[in-house]
Amino acid sequence: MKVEERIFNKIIAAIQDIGDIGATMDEISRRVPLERHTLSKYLNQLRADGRISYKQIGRAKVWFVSKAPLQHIFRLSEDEKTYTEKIFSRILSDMPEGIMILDFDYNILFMNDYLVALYGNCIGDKFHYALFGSYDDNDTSGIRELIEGKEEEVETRVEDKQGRILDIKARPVENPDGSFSIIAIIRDVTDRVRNEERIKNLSELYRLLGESVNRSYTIDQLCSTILKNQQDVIGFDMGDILIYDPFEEALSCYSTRRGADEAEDCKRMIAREAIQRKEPFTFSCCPDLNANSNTDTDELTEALTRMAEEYNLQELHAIPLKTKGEIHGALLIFTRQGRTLSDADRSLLEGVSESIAGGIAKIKAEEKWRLKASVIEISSHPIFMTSPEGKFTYVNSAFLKVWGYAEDREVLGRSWSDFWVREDILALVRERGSWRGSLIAKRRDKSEFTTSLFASLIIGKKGPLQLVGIANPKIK
Amino acid sequence: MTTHTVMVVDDEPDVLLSVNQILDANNYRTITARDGYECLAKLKEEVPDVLLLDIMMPGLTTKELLDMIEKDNRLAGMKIIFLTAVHSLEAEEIGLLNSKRVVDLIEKPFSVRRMLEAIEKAIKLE
Repeated sequence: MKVEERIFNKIIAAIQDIGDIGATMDEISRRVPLERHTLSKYLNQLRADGRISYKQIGRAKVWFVSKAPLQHIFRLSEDEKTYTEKIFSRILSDMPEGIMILDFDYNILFMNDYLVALYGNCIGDKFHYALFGSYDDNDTSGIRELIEGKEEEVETRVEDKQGRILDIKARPVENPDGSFSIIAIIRDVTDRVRNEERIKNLSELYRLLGESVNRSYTIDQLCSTILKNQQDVIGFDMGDILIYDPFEEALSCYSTRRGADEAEDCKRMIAREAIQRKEPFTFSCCPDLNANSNTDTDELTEALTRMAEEYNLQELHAIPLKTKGEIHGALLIFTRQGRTLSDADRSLLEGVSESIAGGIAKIKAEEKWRLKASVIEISSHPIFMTSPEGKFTYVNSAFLKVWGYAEDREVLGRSWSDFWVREDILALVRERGSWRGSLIAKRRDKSEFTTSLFASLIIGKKGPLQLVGIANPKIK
Repeated sequence: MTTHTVMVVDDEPDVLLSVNQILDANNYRTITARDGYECLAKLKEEVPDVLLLDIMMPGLTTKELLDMIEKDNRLAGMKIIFLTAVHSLEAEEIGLLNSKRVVDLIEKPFSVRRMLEAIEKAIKLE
């Protein structure tokens, strides 16, 4: 140990010997025999290090050993601080995260401006009371583990008394008098965590939605899966998807729980309003107050109030389901008394609504095409499709019957020339885009018959896609 | 018999080739262009009766191309038919169907018969 350090230790021991009332220069010099100027030099060095401090009493300085150097710095007035202390205290105060110093009895010795802004000035209060509103030290912040010496450093995430989510990183530090304090860095990460949760929920909803669209065969299946997934992720009491049919101007309802006819009519009225407005609206109803909402139609408000009373509802959210330019229906979400949707959940539902509408549009289009395909299938005219090179890709039942085949797998993949005498027709269709005329066809049993044929080329995004033909066999 | 001229604008070479060949075989004179810039350049040289226009092409957007055509009085009699993979509602949303020159929108995949009928109808509108 250096001589200088030994002198420092002697000075600190001397001040501690004298006790809590503090030591004057004379009292110290009696225990540490140094010239007055030399002693003054060492005292000021110790003070600059934050290990001791003084109080000016009259003309005399009374020296104390700093129990918590940071606390000491912040208790000094600006004039009393050294240059380093001033800079240091400003940095700590302005830090964009919370700094708190505790003693081993959980007393708060220091908190910076960041924490004062969150909790008010709680210096002197117990840590658990200030942050968690209780005197119980059996919390999850990990401070107890530090105090009991079970951990050398803790990093925890906790929720405070106001529902804020805090990241706490803390470790013990030894003070100049040999006691220990705990320095904790506390950061309010509520917004970040909520955003992360929202993104997680949103991506989960999108994932589930994608799965639902891929696995659903009908609108009914799709809507019930979507509602179930949304209920799992967000948690609401009742949900409905009402699909709009522009030809019938009607709304079909798919719901988590079907209500009485009057309630169903009411849901349709709400959905129509959302579709008409083309934007979401919310209706909230409190039992003691009049219903309040952003609705302005008396009839609608009346219907909403009736529905809210009937089902003991707190909130109703109506979100139109639209893709670019096309309305497909509306999503209705209901919560029971005492429950509300958070802004984040609401924005989550609104955010995912376009994808729901896209999914509905996809399944609707598929249903429409299946319907059209069934028309082709039951047509009495033989209909077929080939690749531009003439390989058969589709035939309907009438084709199989007329050509004498039992199943389409006997036909698919075979060439034009297996069914038609003139092979040049294929090239003509490719060249002219379509062809109409009379042709000789070949049956399975090699017998021939005459049929009229209309064939047209189908062009896709990348070029010629298929050739479609409709035959009309001449019946003798 | 008057031979009518159709300009086909599409960035897909196979579509261009196929439509060009089909129109030739059906007694139309054709001009082809791969994008909006080439279309404008060729429109300076000759005004077709019908413009078959793809919606999603690189370079000049269809809306920009349409606006430029709109401003050119020489092209007042030219009819436009969209040949596109874009849904008609989306085209409407981005304002592509507002022009009086736009007479039809054919969604891909399309049958050649449908295209030929649309061209015939557009020429009769003249």
